[in-house]
Amino acid sequence: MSKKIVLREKLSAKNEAVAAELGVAFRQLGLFVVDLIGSPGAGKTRLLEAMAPRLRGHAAVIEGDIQTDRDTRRIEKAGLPACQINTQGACHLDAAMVRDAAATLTLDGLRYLFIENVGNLVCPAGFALGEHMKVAVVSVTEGDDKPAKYPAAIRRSAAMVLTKTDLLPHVDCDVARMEREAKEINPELAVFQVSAGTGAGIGPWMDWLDAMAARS
Amino acid sequence: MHEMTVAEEVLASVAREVRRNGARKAISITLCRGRYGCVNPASLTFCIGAIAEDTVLDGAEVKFRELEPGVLCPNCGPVAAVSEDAVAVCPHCAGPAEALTGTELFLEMVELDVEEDCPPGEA
Repeated sequence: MSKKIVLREKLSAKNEAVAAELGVAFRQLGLFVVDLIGSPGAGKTRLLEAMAPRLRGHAAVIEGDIQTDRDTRRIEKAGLPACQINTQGACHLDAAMVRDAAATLTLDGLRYLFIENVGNLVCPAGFALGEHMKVAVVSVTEGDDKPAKYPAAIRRSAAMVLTKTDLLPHVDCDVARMEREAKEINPELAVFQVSAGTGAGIGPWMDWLDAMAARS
Repeated sequence: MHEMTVAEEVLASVAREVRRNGARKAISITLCRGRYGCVNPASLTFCIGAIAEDTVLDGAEVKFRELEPGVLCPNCGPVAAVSEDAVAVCPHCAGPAEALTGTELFLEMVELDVEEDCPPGEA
């Protein structure tokens, strides 16, 4: 005889539970936590390097990659404490990995923790890491259709940072279209155009982050 | 989303319901997903099959119900979305609207194989 049980039970509750606890721990430390997501080569590490002079003494970074600690070494050279997660093949970070990595960092007295996710515009959108916000890092060299093609990443992000704007004269990229299509998916999205190479736009982007952190 | 981790959670939830209801096993499960979810149904079905052997899910039918994509428009109320794209725009008035469904994934229903009760009056 068959019996039907109606549940409506959310799946992937495990990661969300770890992320929720981690979020509480971060807030108790007074940390504002940002998860940077974006394709491989979008410029996530380079963006952090460009931000480092203003963040020195106030921030730490957790780097996520499948392999190597190259990004951690770059961040440390830029003057910020950092630690590396190598995911053993996983294409995204999860809350348990971030919890274990955060335990190795001295976070007392810091204002910001940046998590640089594995280069991937798909899976990281689906995993909470205890962050205050996700930020999508999208370069102007990837094609201006990327926000429309990756709506989950755009929807889950509070901001989109368009990088490598110094290359605009050399690529076919309609930044107005990128911004418009991204805001059709997420009307609340803040959009910034930056060049880590020239420094253009980095100030306003960081001012906005400071304002968000002050509100939290 | 990662289908194998989700499959393990499905198995754990079904095993719990089997225990709670004194059932022998599951006959079927129904999973609900939003259109913009990060889980691929065919991959998830495959992963469930891969871990189901010799468990309460062995042989169970895996059904999917896709949630009707919709938006909540401040002018028009809840509206079914018509576009294939994941836009937060009302299809009636073209004003900004909030996505109602999109990335959900949940275990909606489990159909269990339970013992027949003895009809009253029989030994």
